[in-house]
Amino acid sequence: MSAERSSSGNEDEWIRAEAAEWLLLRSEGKPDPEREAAFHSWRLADPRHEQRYTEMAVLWGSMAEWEELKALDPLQRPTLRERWAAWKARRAEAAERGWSGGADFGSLAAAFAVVLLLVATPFLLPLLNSHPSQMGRTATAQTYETRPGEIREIALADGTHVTLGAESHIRVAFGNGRREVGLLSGEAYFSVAHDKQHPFYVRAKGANVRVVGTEFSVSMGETTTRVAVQTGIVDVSAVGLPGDAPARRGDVRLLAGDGVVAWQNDSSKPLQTIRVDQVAGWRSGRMAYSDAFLADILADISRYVPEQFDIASPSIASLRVTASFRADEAAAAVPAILKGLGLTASETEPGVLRIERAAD
Amino acid sequence: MLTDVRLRIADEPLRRQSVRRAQERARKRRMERLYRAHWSDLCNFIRWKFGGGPPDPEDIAQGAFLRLAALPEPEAIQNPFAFLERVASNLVLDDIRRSRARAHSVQELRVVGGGEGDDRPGCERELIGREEMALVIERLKAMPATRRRILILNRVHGLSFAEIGRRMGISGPAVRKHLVRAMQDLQAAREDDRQERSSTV
Repeated sequence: MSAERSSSGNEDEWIRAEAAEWLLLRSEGKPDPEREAAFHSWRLADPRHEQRYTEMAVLWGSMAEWEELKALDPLQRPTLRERWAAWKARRAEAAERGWSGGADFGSLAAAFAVVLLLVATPFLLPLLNSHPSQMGRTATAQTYETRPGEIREIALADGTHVTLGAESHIRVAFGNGRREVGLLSGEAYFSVAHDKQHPFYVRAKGANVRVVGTEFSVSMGETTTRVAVQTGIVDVSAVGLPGDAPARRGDVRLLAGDGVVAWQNDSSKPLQTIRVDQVAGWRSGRMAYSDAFLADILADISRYVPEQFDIASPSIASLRVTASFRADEAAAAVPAILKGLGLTASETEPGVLRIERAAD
Repeated sequence: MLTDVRLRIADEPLRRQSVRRAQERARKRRMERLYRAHWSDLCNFIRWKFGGGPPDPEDIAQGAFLRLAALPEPEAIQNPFAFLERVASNLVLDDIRRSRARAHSVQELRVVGGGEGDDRPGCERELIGREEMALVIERLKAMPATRRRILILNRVHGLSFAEIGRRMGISGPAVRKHLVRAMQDLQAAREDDRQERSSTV
């Protein structure tokens, strides 16, 4: 095949393999938040990834409608008996959940409607050939990173302004009509330029944020991702969760002063809405938490201090804390917080503080 | 929203008011019932058909329900799920077409050195053309029979990986592997063809 032609051919082959792998991994079953995050960072990493993936997804979807495909393998055509069984099952299902209870006739009409739609498909979708050289290379991904303790201001091409917190990492992918930022670690504050035509997405582990034009912050802690809104409206959904209705799934609409906590590795837990007194206080050197997990607070602090924290048990990690302190005094805040919870810190190895319950 | 409605009908005779309110309520209940009944199936359908996006299957499902609710008489739709499936498919393709049209128009601007904005209708292109489809079908014919059969069972008959596995006596993950290889192969055929055509022209 083409792959052996040149080194770029090999690269193409590799991207195709990855794209196909992602496509099939994500086409069945419950989406797993961790995998989704990995997928989005792969996709945003290179415009060729996105382009190959989308092309394959379109082919994949189109094939579901090709009559020609059925004709390819006549043996696989369902027998009359199979089709009858399928039709009966579908009718029973439809009667159970349809518009009205007695929809027998309805489902017969529906069967016709489906047939009509299938026949009409080629006409519904205008048929033209896609151009050979159009590879949509306009999408570019750019990454920004900050060192521990560093806060950085970034102006994006669409006029959006990002304040990147300490030891944080974002990947910005604009183009192909989308505005997307992947938050790979840490926290960021977004002041999004208004553009109704092109929603702005922030993809973080466990949470998807969709906005039109607003100001908000996204922070990734140890186990949760938090979103807090300064102005405007922000829609947040837990990543994945295919099955459930939005209410159950935990689609949340946030207004100014609202915040939400999303679980990174457990999308079955609902998004939890909270009130936020101060959005991204770290920008002005202030860190404020209300009823937050100790693990998340320590994760934030560790980006501002040289030490790392090692939490002895999950029960300690999930202790709730309300606290407010200045970022440059984070080191001093730690002992105060720990004392209030009956915990102690001891240096087990250089630069690592182990957090344990204090022995009485 | 609610207050809005009330204000508007405040001067109507009381009876008509209550009738209208009852209708609104019934309509809302019906939509809720539909939502509960079809939401997860619709998301699974979108995921089965196009993979996990983008566009996000949940966004698309939401859009499809909004379309249904916006119909003047949603009750007239005999098979709401078939309607939702069709609308969702179109929404996915529209989304992809839109983002592609933008990319193209920028490229064209560069080539021609002038032109107007982004969303010109002329930029819309079919996502899979006739010729490309013929090419893919040819490639499928050349594929190992097992792989081709698996693809058809999934795409045409909508069987899950596990169901196909049971039928063919292999594991679900092995089915997925076959499909990955198949898609890789088909995509390679498309790209080779494009390259050939651009080099001969």
